[in-house]
Amino acid sequence: MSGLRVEVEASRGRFHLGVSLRVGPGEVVAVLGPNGSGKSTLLAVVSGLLRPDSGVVEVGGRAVTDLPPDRRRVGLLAQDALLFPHLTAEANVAFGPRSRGVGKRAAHAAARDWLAQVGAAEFADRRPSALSGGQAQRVALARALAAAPDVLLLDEPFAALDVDATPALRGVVRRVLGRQTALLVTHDPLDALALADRVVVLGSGAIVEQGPTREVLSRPRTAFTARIAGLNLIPGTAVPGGLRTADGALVAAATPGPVDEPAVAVFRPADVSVHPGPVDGSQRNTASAQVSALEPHGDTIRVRLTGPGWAAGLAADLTPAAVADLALEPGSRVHIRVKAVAVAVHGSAGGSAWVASRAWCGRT
Amino acid sequence: MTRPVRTGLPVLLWVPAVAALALVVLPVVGLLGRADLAALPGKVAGPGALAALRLSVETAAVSTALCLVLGGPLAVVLARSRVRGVRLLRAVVLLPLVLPPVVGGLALLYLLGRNGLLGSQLPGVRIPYTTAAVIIAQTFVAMPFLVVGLEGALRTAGERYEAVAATLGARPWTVFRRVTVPLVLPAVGSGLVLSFARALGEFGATITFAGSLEGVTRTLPLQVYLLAETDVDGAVALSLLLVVLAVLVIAVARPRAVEGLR
Repeated sequence: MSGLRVEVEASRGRFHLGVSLRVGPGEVVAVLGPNGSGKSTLLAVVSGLLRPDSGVVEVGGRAVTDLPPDRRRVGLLAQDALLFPHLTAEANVAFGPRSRGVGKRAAHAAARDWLAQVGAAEFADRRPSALSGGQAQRVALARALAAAPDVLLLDEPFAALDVDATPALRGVVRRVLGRQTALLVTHDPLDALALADRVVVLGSGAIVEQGPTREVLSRPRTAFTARIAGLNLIPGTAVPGGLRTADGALVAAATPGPVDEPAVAVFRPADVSVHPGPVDGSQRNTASAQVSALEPHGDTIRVRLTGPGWAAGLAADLTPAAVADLALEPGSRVHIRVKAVAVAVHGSAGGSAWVASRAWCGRT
Repeated sequence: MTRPVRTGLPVLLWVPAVAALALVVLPVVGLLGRADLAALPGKVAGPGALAALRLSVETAAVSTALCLVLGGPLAVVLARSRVRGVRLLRAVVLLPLVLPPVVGGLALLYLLGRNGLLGSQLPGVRIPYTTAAVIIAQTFVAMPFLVVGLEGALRTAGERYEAVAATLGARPWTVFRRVTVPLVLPAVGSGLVLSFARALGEFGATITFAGSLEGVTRTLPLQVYLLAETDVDGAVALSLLLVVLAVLVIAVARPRAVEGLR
């Protein structure tokens, strides 16, 4: 297994990128940032499509800075599947092994294996033009992995898909990434949450913040990160109808996740309502909490909460008028409620599901 | 039966459209009307005619092959190379397309003729007035058709598939063979058809550079021109033969290649 080290300066027109980044062997790191933050430039530099002004790109300890893309062993799954239109799905997946000198029969056998792993076995004989966006992206994922890259780059892999197709494919990616070293570029915090061990936040060509995914997303240390993330996350295990926290509480969710797998319940601070007294006991997702801090956040005030149960570490966005009405200040005791409709449960990275799926594919 | 409704085709456009069609079709009809159908087989099977037909098809086939072998790589270089000055080269390639063929023939003569720039450096090699000259003249006028069409197709296809192939570990030659070429195959087909048709009809450059020697350089168009002075029926018969060849080319090429030109 190989890691990735990137320490580069690169310019594109007036845009400048200066990044120092490491991805450990088998680790998935998400690069989060808005459009124009340098995400695509970073990917182009790592994949070899753009030569940096200075610095070094290392894959598994090999300096690949001056190597062309075909000698780097860096795979790419882009927003568009870009399947070769003249080849069947199976031949597309077999392309990588064939290019590396594997015999035709062995390459096609491997291709069928990978197609099965991404749940696309039934499309093996189809041309890309006969595949939906989600199906094509599954085949593209199989193709990228079949080439056995040392590092896989994922460039907004779900951005071009229907909203309906995204969760299923995200699940597939999570399952097959397993021990694959990968760099995931996205503007969607949920992608990072589901797939990445660590998050790097990029802004205007520089790293603004980095750390373990859940920590960065739930407790952003910079206003910049808070703007693009700032989600409430409650870790636990997915159960039918919601999420079970470590201390046994149930968080009800309208959008359930993969049952029995490690997961997080996700909702926006604006979906948390704050009440002075106990909320009607028949309501779901209620808890008592204590205000720890109040911060201005755009037009609203972000109320930071602590508490004994799952309310710990949550944030609620209230209007200044509501904050005044409730006479909130640090130390105030409150009761909170989160509507189940606003809660989604997502499988989180670091699960154990991949161990089984990896075992039978026999990859070393 | 339900039929889709077509919207917004101005009736006025029909008038020039019909006139344009008439301009293309009526001359051929006129040719048919002038032909003495009974004498046609004899004229077409005449010794001079058969030799010209054979020479035409053979030289056009060789020139088309040359267009592919030389023009194909040129199109790839023009479309993909980032070397400075490639834009200028692209304009130069169009030259035979806009140059009157007679001028092209003269230019070839002064390059490859006995006292030409290159011809004088090749003692013992005589190019003008040989079958080789016919092939060179045809390749000269026909190649831009293939190069321009193929280059356009390469640009439209873009480099994204090639970039993906490279990230999958394919070396440049593998990428070219397994990705670039298959993607532009329809354009190669249409380019070949157009080049062949252009080579088959080539007259001006051929007569200036290769002359009109029976069995050696006298292709069908040259034979038609010659007969038009002396044996009109023969000229008409051979013209119809060229029409048939043209229709055959279109029939073989359609709809994939010619319509794939876009």
